[in-house]
Amino acid sequence: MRDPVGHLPTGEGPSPRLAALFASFARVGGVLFGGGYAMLPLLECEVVGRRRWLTPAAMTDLFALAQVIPGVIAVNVALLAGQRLRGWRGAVAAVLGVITAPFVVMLLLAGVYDALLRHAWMARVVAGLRPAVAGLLLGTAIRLVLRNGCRAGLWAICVGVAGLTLLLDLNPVWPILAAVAAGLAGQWIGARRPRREAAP
Amino acid sequence: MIVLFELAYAFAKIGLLTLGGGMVMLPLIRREMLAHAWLSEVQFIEILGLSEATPGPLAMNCATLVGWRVAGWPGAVIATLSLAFPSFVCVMLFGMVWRRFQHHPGMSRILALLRPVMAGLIAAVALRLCRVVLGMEFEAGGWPQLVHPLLVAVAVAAVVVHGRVSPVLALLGGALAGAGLSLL
Repeated sequence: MRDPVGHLPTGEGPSPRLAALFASFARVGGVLFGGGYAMLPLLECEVVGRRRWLTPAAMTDLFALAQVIPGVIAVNVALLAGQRLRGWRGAVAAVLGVITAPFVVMLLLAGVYDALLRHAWMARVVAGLRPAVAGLLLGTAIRLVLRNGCRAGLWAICVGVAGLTLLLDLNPVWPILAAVAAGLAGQWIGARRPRREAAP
Repeated sequence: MIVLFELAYAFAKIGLLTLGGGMVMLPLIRREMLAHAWLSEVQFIEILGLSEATPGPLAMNCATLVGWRVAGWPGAVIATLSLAFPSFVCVMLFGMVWRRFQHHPGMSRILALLRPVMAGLIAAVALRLCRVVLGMEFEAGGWPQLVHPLLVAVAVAAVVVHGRVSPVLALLGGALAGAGLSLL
């Protein structure tokens, strides 16, 4: 279970070498289908499970922080994880790792992509991947809530955010900013309360 | 040469101005591409399709392809790195403040709220994808056509929640099973 305070634990083992950091993120980047959110289970498998550089709780928190930083989520996660593990060099190694494989694949395909797109099997590959990616993302969301304990409040927030986003076509910026604002407000109120109680 | 600077500026701007990930970025990318006449509407949609079918973050792949189309491989490098650069600066700045606020209770409150919000956002992306897939399949062949993709999605989700099998295997297995089922 995660520690109740929610502090970011650092890595468990010795700090990784830059080449290893690059290699791990390159492995993840090479199989990253379905956008930044699909990266969480992949990183849990590689960085948390195989390499044991970060605890599962630390990885989840890095992911949460990545939402509050502008840019592509997958890039933010790589930067945050790399920076946490090896400073700015680590951030550079991790982000180059995550974009290398897609970059090479893209450039290899770029020359032939007009021809490629006209082929029916390309459409079939995409059509085959889509339900699997949807399942991956759905499973990831469920796991995130389960890991934090099956509290009703968490499910309510999760379902509420998902529902609002889908029904209103809400920009994800708003729930993210709302979470930050509510956290700050809660902190402010919480900080005032003990003082009031202590007063006669 | 000028076009490289324009690419760098356009993609750095896109990277800096979007909070919430690549999906939020796409309308911005589209607007910039059309404004610079770097891509037509049709080309943009084609690039999206290819980005989706290849590994990597969608917006990153878009940047790579657009850069390549506009200015060859230097363009691809510049556009891709420019999109990531604002994030790099932000993470470095964030890292400096992080030491001071890491153990601040307000930070853990924000994180405690961000976690379920993030789960909700992920679920929303998953459900939207389901809606697209099922909508397309339904148009192609009515209700019976929906069985296979639903089976694949639910099976992959169950495997991921269970968490014993590598998500990569779950993804590829699901995609292969889906392709196999569609041939039946």
